Amino acid sequence: MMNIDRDVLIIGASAAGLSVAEALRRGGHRGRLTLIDAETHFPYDRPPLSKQLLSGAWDASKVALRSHDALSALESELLLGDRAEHLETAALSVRTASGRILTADAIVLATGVTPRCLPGSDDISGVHVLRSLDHAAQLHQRLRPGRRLVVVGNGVMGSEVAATASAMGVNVSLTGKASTPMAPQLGSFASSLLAAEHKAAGIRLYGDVGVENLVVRGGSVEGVALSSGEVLPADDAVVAIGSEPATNWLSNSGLSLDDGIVCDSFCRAAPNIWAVGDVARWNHPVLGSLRLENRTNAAEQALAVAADILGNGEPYAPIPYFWTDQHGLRIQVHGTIPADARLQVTDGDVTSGRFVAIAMTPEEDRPVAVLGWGMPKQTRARRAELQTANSVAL
Amino acid sequence: MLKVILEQDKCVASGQCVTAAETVFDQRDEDGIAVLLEEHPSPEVEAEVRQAAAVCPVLAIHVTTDN
Amino acid sequence: MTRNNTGRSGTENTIKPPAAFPMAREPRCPFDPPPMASAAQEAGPLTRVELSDGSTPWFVTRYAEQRALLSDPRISADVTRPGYPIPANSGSTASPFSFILMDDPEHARLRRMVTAPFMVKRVQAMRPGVQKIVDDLIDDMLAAGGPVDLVEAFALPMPSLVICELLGVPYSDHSFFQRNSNALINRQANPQERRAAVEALVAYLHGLLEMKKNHPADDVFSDLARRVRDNQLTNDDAAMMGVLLLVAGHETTANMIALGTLALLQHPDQLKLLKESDDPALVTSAVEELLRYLTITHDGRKRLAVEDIEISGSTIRAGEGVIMATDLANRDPEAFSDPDRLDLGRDARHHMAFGFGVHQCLGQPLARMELEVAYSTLFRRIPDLRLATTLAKVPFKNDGSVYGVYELPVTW
Repeated sequence: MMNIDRDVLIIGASAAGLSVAEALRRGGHRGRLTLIDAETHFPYDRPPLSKQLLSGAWDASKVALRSHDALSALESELLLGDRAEHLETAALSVRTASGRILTADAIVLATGVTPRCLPGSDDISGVHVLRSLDHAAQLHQRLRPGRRLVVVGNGVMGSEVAATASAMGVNVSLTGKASTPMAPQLGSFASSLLAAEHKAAGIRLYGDVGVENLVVRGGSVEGVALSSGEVLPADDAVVAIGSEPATNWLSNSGLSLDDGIVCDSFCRAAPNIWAVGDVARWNHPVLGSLRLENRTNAAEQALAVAADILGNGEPYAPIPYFWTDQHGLRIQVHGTIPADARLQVTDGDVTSGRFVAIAMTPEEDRPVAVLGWGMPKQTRARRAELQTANSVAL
Repeated sequence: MLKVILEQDKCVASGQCVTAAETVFDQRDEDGIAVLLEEHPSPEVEAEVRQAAAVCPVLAIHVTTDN
Repeated sequence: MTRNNTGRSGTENTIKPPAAFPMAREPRCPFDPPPMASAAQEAGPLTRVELSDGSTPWFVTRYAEQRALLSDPRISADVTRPGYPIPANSGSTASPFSFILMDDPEHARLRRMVTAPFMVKRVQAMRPGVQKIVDDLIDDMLAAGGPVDLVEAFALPMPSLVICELLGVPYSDHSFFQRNSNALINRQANPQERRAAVEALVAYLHGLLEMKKNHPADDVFSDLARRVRDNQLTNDDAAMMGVLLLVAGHETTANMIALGTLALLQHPDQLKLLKESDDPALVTSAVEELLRYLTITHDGRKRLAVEDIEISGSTIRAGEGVIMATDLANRDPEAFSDPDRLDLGRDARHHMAFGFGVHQCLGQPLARMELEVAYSTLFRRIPDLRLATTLAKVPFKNDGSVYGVYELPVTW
């Protein structure tokens, strides 16, 4: 059977899964396409959940990933509200929670990640994670001017939630294991700039701390006790301590699992089985074993997977990219900023609060990343230079 | 993946697209007619790109998530 | 409010005679469209009005229909076609040459000759120069002390000086230039005086073109001189283009400055937001909102149908005139929620104050930048600016083709 006529089953209909479906159709795929997702909502985009949706600037209709028309144009079957529970790797069949057995000629695993929780915090009112539309809607309801929010985790998500909430007039404390917010992603210099932005917005920062326990009364959170000994009063707490790839359901599938579904450089996890998006740990030809949890990768990796399904695959070797919007600044990173990177400003200047910088490795003085700080147009221009430098290095 | 199409011969150089999505559109020096910088812009500019399509006075910008 | 979206045929006007156009505003609501116009919008998307010459063009009242029609190729802007609607007060100084009153492809060819100077990045580069013009005018105002007429001291000279820089008029010629361009706007001037002013300007611009041929600089007239030299344009055409750019960019911007300042003074809660914020994005959205709220081109965009057009249950026949009431479009509740409220933070970017379709104002990036600099600098440097009269006494340009105020006495 020709590749374009194969039946394809996509587990997970969010950004990565949907993008695979679209790319397949664009590539001439004619076979049956089935998408299945555990959520009941029509597919939606996650980045706005910690920004415009949380603040109330957008309502739920604006975060739809595709219009209903665009979805029907795919001529696929979209099964919502049914969770995949078991995969037979050799037989290429999936059993779902409702008892459906779905088989295909090719399976794409796009099940994403689930947020980590604080142990024992399950039924405590006022403790939130933020991954789904429902989470964001619930949190939005709670955030009012003057209410006290403690954010546990000072990575990208925690930092964004803190920024959004402070703009809503909420009293925010941002706590976490990193010394300064987003230090692992931004490097120490840019991370200290971000810390200054947070402080200027009235956010209190606590770095190098973990959570000892939550202070709970009558089933509601009242405070967060830090490992430093301080107890921060809280009406609400958002737990943003990272996510686990959603691979528990695959534990007896025979697939190799190691902080994600392990794949080769073509994103293949097994014969006729691919993984894509937040859940995929694939072999990047240059960077080695890599799992990227970001929106851009979902779309780009989907193209690579679709091409491979159609028989035109190539090793997937992107320059990682993510962005975050905080305090009116678009912060962008192309590549990966090493912790001890030297930043060379190429546009704007740090004092004016808007700049673009190239991150150089300290030893070889090689450009490895571009950092954009409120200058999206110029950042885009510098990214092109990075690609040139990298292709020379490769 | 976002795909942007610009029908350049319809353009009247209003500059609205540049104001809406400066990383995706520019204007050429000789007459200010719009040029597309990025056929497949990254997701974080989707709202800006759709805004550009909405405000273009001659409806020369089309945004799709597929062909 | 119930909206009547069901179709109406062209025969409904046999039931009652169409309203005269233009209509009168309610004096106590000088910023809102005439009550009769708003009522027409509520009643339906299309109706007819009667002009002083007895013709009865279509009157399009809602945003969606105007957007559709202004981008419809069956709609013409060619003023020389019989049936083109010309309301009473539109005594314009635009010459027959004006490409704004032509259709594509000739319109596009001519328009593209003058679009380069207005592109966003070039306008941004002009900003420091515009800031200086504004600061110098405010210096003079502060030195003279209040009360002053903001129109004469600030709103009129500012855009005229900006145009001078844009065209490449040497500083020593500014007062000649301003005197004549003011004469074009002045309500007291009779037609002969206006014609004399146009002739003086055309003659002056011929001389300027000659100068720019020999000493080119980075300005519009140097561009145009080069095109004349390359036989893309005649000298006369180039001079008339200069007059067009002047006329198009002077009164409109001047009126927005004065009327916008008045609107801000009349909405102190909104003005407070503007004064207290240091976010440039708020100034930007404030300008868009004021453009929407005031829509000074209050006699609508005038067009002619060249083929039959079916729209929202009506049929516009070939040869019929059509007036797009863009001031009403900008107050359409389907396009802007709570549209009669001035809300500087709302997203008003899809307004039609600059029109829509191929003729949309080509100077709009410059207009926006001028307004940003004017409003923000005025209230930053004179934070307690206030009216030196009462709203009831402010003379509004009710009979002008571009709405605004004739005088605005202010003090601080």
